[in-house]
Amino acid sequence: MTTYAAPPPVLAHGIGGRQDLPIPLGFLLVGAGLAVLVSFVALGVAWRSSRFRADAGRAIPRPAQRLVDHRLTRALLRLAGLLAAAATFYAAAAGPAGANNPAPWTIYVLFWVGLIPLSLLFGPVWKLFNPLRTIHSGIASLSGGAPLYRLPERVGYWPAAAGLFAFAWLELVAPDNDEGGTLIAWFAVYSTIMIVCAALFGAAWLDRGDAFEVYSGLIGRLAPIGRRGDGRLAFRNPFDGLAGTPERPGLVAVVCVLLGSTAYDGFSRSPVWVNLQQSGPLPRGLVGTLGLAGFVLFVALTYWAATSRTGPAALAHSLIPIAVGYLIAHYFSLLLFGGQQAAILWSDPLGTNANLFGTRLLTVDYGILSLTAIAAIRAGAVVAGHICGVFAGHDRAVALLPRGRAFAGQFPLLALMVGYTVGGLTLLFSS
Amino acid sequence: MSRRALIASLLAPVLAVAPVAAGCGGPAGPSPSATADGAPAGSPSGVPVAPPAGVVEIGVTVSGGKVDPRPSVHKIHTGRTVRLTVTDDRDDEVHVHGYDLRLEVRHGKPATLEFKADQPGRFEVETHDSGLQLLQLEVS
Repeated sequence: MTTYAAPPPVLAHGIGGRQDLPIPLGFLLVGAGLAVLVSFVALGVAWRSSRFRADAGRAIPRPAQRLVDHRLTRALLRLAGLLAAAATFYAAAAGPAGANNPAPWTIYVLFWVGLIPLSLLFGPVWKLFNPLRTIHSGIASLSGGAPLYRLPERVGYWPAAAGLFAFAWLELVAPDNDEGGTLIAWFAVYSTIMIVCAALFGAAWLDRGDAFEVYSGLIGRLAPIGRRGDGRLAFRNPFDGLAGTPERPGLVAVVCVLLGSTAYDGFSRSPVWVNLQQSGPLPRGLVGTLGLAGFVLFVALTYWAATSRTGPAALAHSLIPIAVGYLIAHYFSLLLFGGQQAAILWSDPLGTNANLFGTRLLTVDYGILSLTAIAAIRAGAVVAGHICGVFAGHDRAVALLPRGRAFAGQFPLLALMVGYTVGGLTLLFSS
Repeated sequence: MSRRALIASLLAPVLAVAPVAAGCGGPAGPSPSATADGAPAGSPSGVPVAPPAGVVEIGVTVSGGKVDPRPSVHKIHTGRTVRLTVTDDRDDEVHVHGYDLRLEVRHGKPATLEFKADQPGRFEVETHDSGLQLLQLEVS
């Protein structure tokens, strides 16, 4: 029998090394009960004519807006985005292997998960940092060329839906997805497609086709600040912002990818699924890809069936809070703990025993939030997302459907939302 | 070379300031004592030791890419000592996620890792080269 001493803690890290404990049964039952109760309240006693307006909101003072919109502010934000991306991919190329490198933590935790709270607070922030937008405007001003084609309306958000699916696949299925080479390859292909398409169709492509701008933008519909039709930044009711979500083709697809892939992330950690992947007859990557695609398709089909009366696009915005609730429930603790890991690893990004920020020898503190608080936030996020989704959907249904049929008409969507919420809570409880 | 790699190498000199822009100003002070008592208590090699009271024994065998017993969730009370014994038909390295413990496994020889489960959460235990999940520890 041989025993090996453990290496110093800097040697090995697993991306997402710690996962959340299942939520207690009581949280599942109370959450599910609340979801059903609120849904019936919404159906029975809520307002009967639509009240959320996309253009509502109280404008912020003009000097504040001038500062936010100033060319220098914009230039600084773009520079920050460019430098952060350059540092991340330099570390990915030249730093240590796998999860000892800050790059996977920066991409999967600080960037992908960190964009959720930033966008919820400030709106579509990725637009301001996006290094692809900076590179595109650099190329455009050098060549002086206008875009060659007009981006057809029917393209809508479909490229972003495809991009988000590809990123979910990278994060949840791809082999060696914490290795610098894998990350560089994925983002090299993605960036090339984005830059070429932006050259063809102009910056409008990035508004609708860049997966991360669309992700940040849709989450940002819920921000308490937004831009009105007259260009003024305004404090607004998040429901008003949500009601202003552009009904472009592919919006449903984007939301279905977000919901389906997050649910798959929870499900794929269950031992049953692990066994099927490891011991089943099919190759692991194929099983994972089929599982991910299956979850997204399941969400899409059930949503499509439940919205036959109003058309799927008109109610798609009401799924955004539900998707955000799912994202928070699954990933907020990753930001809490993985964010610490990123801060530790950035002290020594190249594995040279540097200690740039004095954090290299620290270890992740898993005790900064109690287990009960973590479980409450996870279950609470799913239920809160559900409640917001129900009211947003109700408001749109009473606007679209004739008065007598509004209540019967929104029942299928309500039942679907209850199903998603109870299903989501069950995933948090059982895996 | 990709555009990004090219840009990255051009901007290498600014690396020293770039992490600030990367937004790692987040959680500032993780406690340095967090895993102080998480270090494994090794037993002298070759000497069989009876498990002390309260030690959770877990044994896993890997052969032909199959894990026996199949991966499952092991529930552990926080503060208990876990003794994990892995036998593999190839040389590999076992990784306990979250606790960041590694165990070298030599072809056919059982290898043992003992550690105190003092951090609550769900942690996967995986082999590094073959990428197989052996089990999950649920510490609460």
